[in-house]
Amino acid sequence: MMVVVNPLKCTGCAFCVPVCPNRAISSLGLAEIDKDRCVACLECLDFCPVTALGRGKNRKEPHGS
Amino acid sequence: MDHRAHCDVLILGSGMGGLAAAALLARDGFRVIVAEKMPRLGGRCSTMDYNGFKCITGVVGVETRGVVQGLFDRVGAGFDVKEAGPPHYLINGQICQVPSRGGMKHLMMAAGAGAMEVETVMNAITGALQWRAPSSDVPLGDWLRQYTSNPRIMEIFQALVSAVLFVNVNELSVHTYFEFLKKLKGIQRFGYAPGGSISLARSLAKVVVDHGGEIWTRCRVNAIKSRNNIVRGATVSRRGKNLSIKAPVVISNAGPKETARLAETGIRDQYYLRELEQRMTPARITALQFSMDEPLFESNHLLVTGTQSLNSVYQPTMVCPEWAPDGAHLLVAGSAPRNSLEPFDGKREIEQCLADLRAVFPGFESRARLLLAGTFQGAWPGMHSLPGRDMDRKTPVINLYNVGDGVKPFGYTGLPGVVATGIDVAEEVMGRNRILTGAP
Ligand SMILES: Cc1cc2nc3c(=O)[nH]c(=O)nc-3n(C[C@H](O)[C@H](O)[C@H](O)COP(=O)(O)OP(=O)(O)OC[C@H]3O[C@@H](n4cnc5c(N)ncnc54)[C@H](O)[C@@H]3O)c2cc1C
Ligand code: SF4
Ligand code: SF4
Repeated sequence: MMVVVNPLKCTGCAFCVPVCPNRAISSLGLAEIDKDRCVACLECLDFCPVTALGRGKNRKEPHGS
Repeated sequence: MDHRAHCDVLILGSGMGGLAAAALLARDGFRVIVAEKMPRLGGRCSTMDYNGFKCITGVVGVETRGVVQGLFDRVGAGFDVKEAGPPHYLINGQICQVPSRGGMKHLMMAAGAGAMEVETVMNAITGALQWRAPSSDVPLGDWLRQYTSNPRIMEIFQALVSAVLFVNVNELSVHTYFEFLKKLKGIQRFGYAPGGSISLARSLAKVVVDHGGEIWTRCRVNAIKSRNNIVRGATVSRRGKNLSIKAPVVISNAGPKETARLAETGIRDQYYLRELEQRMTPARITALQFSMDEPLFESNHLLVTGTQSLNSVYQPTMVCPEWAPDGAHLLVAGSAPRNSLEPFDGKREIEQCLADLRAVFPGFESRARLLLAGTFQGAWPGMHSLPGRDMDRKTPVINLYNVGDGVKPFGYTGLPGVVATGIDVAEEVMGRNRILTGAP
């Protein structure tokens, strides 16, 4: 499990970036999560003003992995 | 529903509009609950600690000796803001200080305007300020072009309105511009809070709590409840539980559109919803925050002319070294697209702002390291409405009000505008309560 960004909701404010203890988030107009760093602690969720962050399966990983 | 709570006034959101209203009402004896979904106070007037820097979530410069300070004095809240001194402009690569008198004249001369040209523009401005306000449907740019064709003069106005009103000279009505000059004096006096902008929110929150109010963070309002078109309270989630809060008055700081969405089932007036869609145009801005070993220039604030999108650069650490680790400096660069209605591409805006910074400050790249790049648009914008396009503070649901930067009084902007909405709504609630209870 990891955190995923809803690109239709994310406004790019970068509020989530300083919150992550593992520096898994970067943002240049749209937040991106580094799946290798995210430990799904969910600390960032409450800091997003537009509920663009949510729990999710890592979509980038191929099925069955 | 797991639990119930009740209060006299429920305030949805701890932005400065919500907290201004909360502090006034708590002091007047109302039982107030402020429900804030984020873990920290202040919304877009807050502070993010990052690598030892007090990074901004919005407000950098705070108007002083005006509406904001007046509210703090009135409720007995500490107003710890260090004044920044007069504003500076970057014109033709030269830094110009704006003198306290004859500022505009001085700037136009610095831009290379001739004496005749300066006099023509100054006479027009004097007439507009002291005799007759120009027509409301004329853009500031068109109005100015009647008196000057000098692009550098236009750029001085552009830098100010883009940085402070978050709009462009060709989009702002000249009437709104002069109203802003009259009401807020163009925000000539401002400063920075040594404790970070969040300290302003904390200071108002302390007044609320000291007067028996409650402030709940990590508490999201899920729906605003009403019956027979009168507000009844809200349902919230807090610590994993759902809670129903009964309140005869609800003040929303979430922005007019979000308020309407939360109160959806209660709002029958389709024309109100249509007006919301038509009027509310969010101001879109970009704020880049950098760490530096040395200041980039010798003042704390510059309005930048002649760029594509960059309009202002702040070095708050020149006034408040507390905003950075020992010896380091924080730089905040603000920009806005030259067209407020075109689709907004955050990545492109950030790149344009960076390109402007490199063009204006030689060696920028080697001197400044990017900390955070934020774009503010859509549901979390620079301001919920462009100047002159604000909604009414009352909603169609009785006793449901909006505060914040989507309902600013005419001529107001940013923090003073937001605080003014909190004062206005709190006074309305206090006044109506006196009539109902017969209190003096
Ligand atoms: C980058 C940037 C720079 C700026 N610089 C300046 C400046 O230098 N000077 C200046 O005067 N102005 C500045 N502004 C404008 C200023 O920040 C805003 O106008 C002002 O802070 C907005 O206050 P507000 O009361 O409207 O509410 P907000 O700050 O938007 O607060 C609303 C609060 O409500 C909460 N909320 C929303 N929905 C819910 C819900 N359902 N349940 C619970 N809580 C909820 C939010 O989490 C938030 O905390 C800047 C803005 C930005 C974005
Ligand atoms: S869930 Fe935790 S680790 Fe993952 S991005 Fe959010 S804060 Fe970082
Ligand atoms: S806090 Fe939310 S809106 Fe802001 S950058 Fe992160 S995901 Fe996007």
